[in-house]
Amino acid sequence: MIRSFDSVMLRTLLDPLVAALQLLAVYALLHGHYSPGGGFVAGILLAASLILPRLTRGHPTGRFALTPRGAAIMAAVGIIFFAVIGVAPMVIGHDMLDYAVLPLGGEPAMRRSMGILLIEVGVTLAVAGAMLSIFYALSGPVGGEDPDV
Amino acid sequence: MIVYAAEILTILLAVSALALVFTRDLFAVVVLLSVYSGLLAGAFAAMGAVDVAFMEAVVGTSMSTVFLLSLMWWIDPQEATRYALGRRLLTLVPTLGLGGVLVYGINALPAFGDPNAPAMRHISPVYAQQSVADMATPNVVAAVLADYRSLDTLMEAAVVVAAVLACLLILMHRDDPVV
Repeated sequence: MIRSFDSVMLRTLLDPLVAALQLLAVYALLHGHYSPGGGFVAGILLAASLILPRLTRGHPTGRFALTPRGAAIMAAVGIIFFAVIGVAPMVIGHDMLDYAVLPLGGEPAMRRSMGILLIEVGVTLAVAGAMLSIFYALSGPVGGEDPDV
Repeated sequence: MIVYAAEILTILLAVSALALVFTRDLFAVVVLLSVYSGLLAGAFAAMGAVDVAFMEAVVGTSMSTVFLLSLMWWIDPQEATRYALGRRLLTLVPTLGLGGVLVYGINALPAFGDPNAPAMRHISPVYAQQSVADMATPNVVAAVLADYRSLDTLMEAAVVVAAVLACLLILMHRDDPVV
């Protein structure tokens, strides 16, 4: 089990670091059309921002603390969301993952752009949940339930 | 000086790889792996593959380091197996063999940035020219990953989640949880 590491610097730096990581995650996700980034990177950054408090304080704290069960559910929701976006065009008689036929508004190019953003959200959730699950599986006393909240 | 960034980073990569080989302490090995990933990310960025560099920076430098450090909790870092000299010399044969094949293969690679390289002549130019018109996305990497090749990305994400499920199934139901 990871225990709290008593260091003034770590405790002081933790909150701004978590805020910066989550801001960078949102930026990587939303600005991925124009700059390096995208769902995978955003998911890893989000997971890192949730792992960091646990590494520092030894237990999940704050409003965004996810239980191991929550992390696994997050990964599943992400991949199912991606798959639903992918299959939706097939249901109305078009090619799989053809976002242009989805009712997202605007020109076909803009609809595809919005579709990319939607599936990147799914990828972000899937990757963040996956990384958190691996971390929980590796780091603590286990048994399928929340260890030490 | 920026011209030589990739060359300098490559030399540092070789140095850190050699340091990895000669380091015995597990904690130092994990830190050196993180350094290696950071240098690799820098080399990718210096060669213009910024998306790959970003990915390598977050995965190799931070996330895998955290995982490896977590793994050290399960094992005894002092317990190191030192194989006999003959066995260690034996591993030199496949290592040098593979290294020799790779060095031999360098000559067959196209020059860096060669517009006539096979990879540049098939469908890549179409993606680069069409991505703004097709999906209003100037970042060609995002356009290829999330639209032109989105089925690959869907399956890739599914593979990640499947790997995690395997990880959970193996680790979450241990009979003897270490407390």
